[in-house]
Amino acid sequence: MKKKPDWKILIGIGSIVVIVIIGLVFFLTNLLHSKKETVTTVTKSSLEKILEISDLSTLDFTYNSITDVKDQDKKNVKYHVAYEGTVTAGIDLQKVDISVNEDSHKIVITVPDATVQNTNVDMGGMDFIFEKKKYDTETVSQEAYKACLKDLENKANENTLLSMAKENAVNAITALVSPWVEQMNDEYTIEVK
Amino acid sequence: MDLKHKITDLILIVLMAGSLAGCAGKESNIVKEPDITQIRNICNLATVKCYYHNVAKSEKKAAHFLEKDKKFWIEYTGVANLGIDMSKVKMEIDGINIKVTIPKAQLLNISIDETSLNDDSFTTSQDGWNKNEITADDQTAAINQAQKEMEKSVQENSALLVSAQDRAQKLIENYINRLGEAVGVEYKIEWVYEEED
Repeated sequence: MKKKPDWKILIGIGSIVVIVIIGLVFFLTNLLHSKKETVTTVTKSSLEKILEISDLSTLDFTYNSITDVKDQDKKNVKYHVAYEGTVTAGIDLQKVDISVNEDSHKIVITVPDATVQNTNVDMGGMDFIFEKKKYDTETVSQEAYKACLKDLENKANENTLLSMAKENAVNAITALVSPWVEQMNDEYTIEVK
Repeated sequence: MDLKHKITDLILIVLMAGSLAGCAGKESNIVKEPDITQIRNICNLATVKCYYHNVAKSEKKAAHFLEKDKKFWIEYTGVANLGIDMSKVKMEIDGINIKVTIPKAQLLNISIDETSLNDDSFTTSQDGWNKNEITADDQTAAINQAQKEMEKSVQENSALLVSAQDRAQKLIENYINRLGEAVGVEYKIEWVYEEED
């Protein structure tokens, strides 16, 4: 006597095969026909505050570097970030002091010490290498930006930059004052320091 | 010399050569002074510092099966410094008359206020079955675009640029008056505004 086929089992097996085939088709479609990821950005920008300043910037220092960002325990490196940074130094023009020595007929212009006026990292230009994919989080860029700024502050040799910035400021003020020097003849001498 | 001694000598030579090579390859700790080519002498007078509240609204298109288009917003404060190129300021003195040529104000630099950025600055929409992750590269691309748009907005704000030039004029006038006080002369200043090339 012929055994009747168990239709339920056949339907079950058939369904599984169909599902697997459909899944494979979609997987291969995904793999072969994935689209290029595109990000579009629109910015809303509103002016919040305006400050009046008087910074005479006399030196720009550009620094391309790499910094490592570690986990909270400071043991393992999470990722490396390459960045371009700029340090700007100069003087406050309003702090330039002008004094006259009537006895020696000398005008003394005292240039204040230079300070670091701006430390900037191009956040949009940062490049990353992650030790593990899980460290590439949706807010990682702000952590990396702060790490790069701190690294730039540490690496920029402040003493050298500030002395050069002051020297440039003295030259700039001397150039501004030169029309007076030409006019004065022997009446007064001008010293810029 | 027997084979055993030859082999021993050979091993000693190889070991010595290896240790010398190691010394040659050893890096010494060098503290670098800034390379002179990285330093640029400038002469800019920054007179106005503007703080912009920016919201960079981005959308990342789905690229894989079962992904959804994902929106992400980044909120931060951008800073723009405006001023003049002081090297273009010219002064001609004729007795008590001074003719000052002052250039137009320009955007000197833009940056991001780091204190305005933290985890809460980022807002993202829900994912589909398949995660459409916002990567570091997506974030930096969004910030880059946002900064470019802010830069354009500043450069097109003629009122702001005029205000920066006015402030530069006041600072230079103040400087001239102080010099005048020092030499006992009250100067009359004529302002000439340099046209763009």
